[in-house]
Amino acid sequence: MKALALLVLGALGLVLLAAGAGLPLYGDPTAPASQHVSDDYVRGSMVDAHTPNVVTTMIADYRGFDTLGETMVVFSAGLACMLLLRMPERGRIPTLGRPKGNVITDIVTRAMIPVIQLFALYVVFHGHYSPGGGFQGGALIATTVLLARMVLGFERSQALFPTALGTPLGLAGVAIYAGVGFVALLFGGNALDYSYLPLGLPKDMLRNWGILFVEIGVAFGVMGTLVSIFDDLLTGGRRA
Amino acid sequence: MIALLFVVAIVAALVALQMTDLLAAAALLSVFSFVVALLYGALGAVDVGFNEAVLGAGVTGVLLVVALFHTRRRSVD
Amino acid sequence: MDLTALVTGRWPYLFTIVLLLIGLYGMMVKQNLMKKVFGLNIFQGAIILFFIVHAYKHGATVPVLDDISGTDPARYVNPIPHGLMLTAIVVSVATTGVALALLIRIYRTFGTIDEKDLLVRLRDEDPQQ
Repeated sequence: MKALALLVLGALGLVLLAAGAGLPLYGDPTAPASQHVSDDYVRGSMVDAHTPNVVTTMIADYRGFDTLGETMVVFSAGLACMLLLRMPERGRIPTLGRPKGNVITDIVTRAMIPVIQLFALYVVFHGHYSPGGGFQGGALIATTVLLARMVLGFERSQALFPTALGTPLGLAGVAIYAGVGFVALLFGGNALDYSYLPLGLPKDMLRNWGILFVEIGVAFGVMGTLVSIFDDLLTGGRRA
Repeated sequence: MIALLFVVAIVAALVALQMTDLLAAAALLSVFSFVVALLYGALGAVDVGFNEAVLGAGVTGVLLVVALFHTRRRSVD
Repeated sequence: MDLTALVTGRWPYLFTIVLLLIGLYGMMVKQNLMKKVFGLNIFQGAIILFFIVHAYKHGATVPVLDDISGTDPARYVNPIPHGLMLTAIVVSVATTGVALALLIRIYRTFGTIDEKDLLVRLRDEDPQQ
């Protein structure tokens, strides 16, 4: 059985190597993948949306539907964990979720959490001008909650972020994203066409603000879902 | 530079799959994710590298450790 | 199979293919279900690496427009694979979370996460399998 698996892997490796010889050269600026649409995105990012970060413009404005679908995928993964694990019975909190009682980790964690959260807010709001955006910022805030759950204990960290808030916050993120698209639809444009938002600004600044709202929605969605998945895995689904 | 990072990533992946102590293997998988995040940064993809460092080396590592404390910590192969 | 063409001008693809095969080896050959999840993560990392290597251009910089390079597309790395892979990484974390939830349920029901023991216990439960 193991020999058969290794044989299949070897055959797959030979096929991939044979196909790899036909790939474009490494670092070639004239490769076909870099030709047609990506030039338009690079040239149009500042003109259309007043945003220097081309990747953020691309995922939130030019290809906004894909990101909406992805936020829904992440939220439904959180729902799947909830459906698989949650039970109405009560259980003990495992060792990982008990307070560690160690003075050094306690104080360092309590000092680091606000700093990381501030940096995460900076990452979300500066996604236009530097690498960053909603995914990174939301994941960073989720890591502060994970840190608190593991070092300060499950009970005490409920004051920072209660477990019951995880899934509704994820849903709120998806709702903000879809809501922005719906508002654009109400005011005459296509869905997720930010130039029809009723803010009274010139067209490229409207798209700038639309990208910001959408990134905030994505940050909420990612944060709520990651904390919800972690809480389900930590408690094993049973209520504390 | 990029070749060195590739070699470290391949070694980390191979060793993570061979260890029988799953806690050490989860730590090595975090190392793999971190080296791959450095690789993304070296190839000019700073957004993707940031995301991989936070999510791969941080959240996935923690989720793996939490799950393996609910199941077995040692594996047979 | 032109190996010289692969090695000289396209060597990062070789490393990516090796990582891909290591991930597949982990998923197919290892018996412990947790090792299969590790293999899945390595495989996803290799696929994302493949796309990012595609996007690289020599002498180009990070795809954030600045005043030095203007809007010349040849001076910036191709941004489309970066955008696709951002969502791929988040989806990979969500998939790992669901896989681990499944593992915990399997352990709670059958008491093992080893593939051979699992098949034995499944056969004991349902003799027709």
